[in-house]
Amino acid sequence: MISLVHRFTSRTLVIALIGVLGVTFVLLVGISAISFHSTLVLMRDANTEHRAQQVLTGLASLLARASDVESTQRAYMIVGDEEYLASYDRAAQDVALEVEKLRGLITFPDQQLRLESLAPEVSRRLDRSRYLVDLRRTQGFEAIRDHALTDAGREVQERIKAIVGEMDKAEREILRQRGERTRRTARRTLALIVGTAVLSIGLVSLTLLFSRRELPKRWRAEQKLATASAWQRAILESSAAAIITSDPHAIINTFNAAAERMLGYRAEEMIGKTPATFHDADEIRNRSAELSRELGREIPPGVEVFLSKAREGVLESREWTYIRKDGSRFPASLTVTRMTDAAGNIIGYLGLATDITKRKQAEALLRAKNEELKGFAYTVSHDLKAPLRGISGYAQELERRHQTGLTERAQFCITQIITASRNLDCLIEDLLKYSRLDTETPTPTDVLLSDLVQSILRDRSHTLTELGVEVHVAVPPLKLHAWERGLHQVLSNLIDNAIKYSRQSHPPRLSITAEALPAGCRVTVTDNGIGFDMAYHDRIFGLFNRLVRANEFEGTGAGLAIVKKLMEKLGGTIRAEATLGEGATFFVELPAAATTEASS
Amino acid sequence: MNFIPVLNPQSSLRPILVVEDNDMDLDFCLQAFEEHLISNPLIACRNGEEALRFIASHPEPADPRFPLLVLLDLRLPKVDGIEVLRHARQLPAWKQVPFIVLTTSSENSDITRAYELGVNSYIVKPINFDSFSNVVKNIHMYWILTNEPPFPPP
Repeated sequence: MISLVHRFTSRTLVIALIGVLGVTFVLLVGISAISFHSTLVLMRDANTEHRAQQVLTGLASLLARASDVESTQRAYMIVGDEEYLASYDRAAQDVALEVEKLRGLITFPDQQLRLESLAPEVSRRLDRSRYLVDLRRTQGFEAIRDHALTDAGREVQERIKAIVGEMDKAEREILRQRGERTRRTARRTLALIVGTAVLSIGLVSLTLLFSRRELPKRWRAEQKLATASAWQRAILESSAAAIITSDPHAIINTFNAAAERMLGYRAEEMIGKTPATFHDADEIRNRSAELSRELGREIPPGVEVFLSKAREGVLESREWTYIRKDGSRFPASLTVTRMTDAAGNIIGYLGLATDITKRKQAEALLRAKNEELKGFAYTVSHDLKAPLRGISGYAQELERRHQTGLTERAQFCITQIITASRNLDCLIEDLLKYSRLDTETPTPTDVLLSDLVQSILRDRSHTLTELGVEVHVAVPPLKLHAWERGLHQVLSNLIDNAIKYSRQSHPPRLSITAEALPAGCRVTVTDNGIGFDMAYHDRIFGLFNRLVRANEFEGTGAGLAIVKKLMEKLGGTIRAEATLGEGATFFVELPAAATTEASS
Repeated sequence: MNFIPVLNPQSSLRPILVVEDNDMDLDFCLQAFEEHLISNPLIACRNGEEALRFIASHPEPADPRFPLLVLLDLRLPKVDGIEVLRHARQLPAWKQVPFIVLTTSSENSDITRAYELGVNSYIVKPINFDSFSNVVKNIHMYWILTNEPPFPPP
């Protein structure tokens, strides 16, 4: 039941409510009609009953009056007292009156027939009584003696009694039947009223239950709608982007303040028009050709070029040239979204446009800068190195072929020139390497960290043996998904640095450890070399920021700068901990998902 | 245009073609050749256009000046080394001539393009003359003395 209620959508809910109310209404009308009818029947029955009672009373009274007539007539006949004669007259009048009364009361045809057969008997009886009474008065007792003593009137009297008895019985039967019918009708009506009342209460309760469940929902939905439209207004008013909505045929119906500012049209001017008004016609034509090819169907050069993709639900940002009301043009980025109703029918489109003039300018500037940088790298590698090769080459020729005529100082100068040009060459190489990192795209592959470390150490085994370095390696077989060349370069540089700066320790120690982290892994490279003051922690990762003099340790000072840049490309971090004179530890943290290679 | 060898012009051996724009680099090249007593004639082209002209004027291996080996710099004025290589590799005889790129560029893109176009070797010019001299010595040992050339001596 509850789940049923939940399944009601707003429309079916309304239909259900109207249905329930309709059924209740029909029930109430029905019960009113039936009650009215029943009441009429009951009223009629009550009337009939009352009449029947009157008829019964009338019949009893008729019999009594008839008896009075009999007795007073007899009394007069025997006694001859005038007083009896008056009583007789009254009784005779009463009998006639009673018959007339009954005639007015009786409606049933059977009873009427009986009454009609009774009336002549009564008349006959009265006539005879009158005759006898008259006879007694005029001729005296003797004239009627025989009559008084005989039962000649009794026969009529008995017939009257019998008919009245019949009528009484019939009337009582009618009364009984009516009573029964009345009780039945009353019972039925009562049952109907109670039943309908229960049903109506049930239906109304059900309706109330529905409403109680649905109305708060409806109320909340309305609240939501109100909030949403407030949001909508706020967004429309405050948005820096032009927001333009249209009907399914691209006829504009909303044109926000930003759109007005951007394009110089007022909303009233644009509503009812299409976005083609402020687009470049050539661009629309080109796009129509492009889309026709892409979608394999004819896309006409018009508003359809904005809608064809959005209609399919494809969200795409494109650059267009917008034309202001004053005719000036600017580049804009436009995203068109379809708007659908609950059933998924498209009810319109929403276009979001931003002025990208500044972005385009910045992009152009950036492109120029990048080109310039590439040119710089070329200049450094080719134009700067060519004369350097000359300096070094000719200095070497002097040393090789023309040494005999040179003084010791001259020979020293030549050595210095050769050393300086070699250093400059290294510097240029590192600079190139550093600048090339920007253009390199890292390609991640599966790398087994332990193998990588071992191969780097193998490449340096000769140096390590020669310097007597104590090497400690604790690298579990972690499999990383990372840019192998970059990681190789990072670890090589760190290991080379460790070897270089611990050369004068006795004995030099190099430790490489690794551990898996919740997200990624950490590699640690530790040496017992000269270390550095932690105050310079950040400087050591800068380009050409050497902390030691070049003649103490070879190198250009680009190594850690390259490492830092590589770590950025690897998406990881690097930091160091060191104590001056006691060695340094470098921590490399990689985000690459690390899995332990089982049985490797 | 006549291409006169800058070294060993009297030699009847097949020449070595050097495509090099830098005077000093060419000078070092000559010195290294002399140092290692390489007796083949050495013909120099000073830019890409000249190299293309040389290729055009020496199409047949029967020509005694058809080279044994080409040392090619990539960064050249007018037409760059890659273009020279591309052009040579489209000609039936020149397709078979060993080409060695000898350049300052160690750019991955240059290396890849050179090999795609069928270069036989790619060497980055060392800055140090001793190292450069060593490179020339190795080229002499391998490509001139050891390697069997595609075409017989004239």
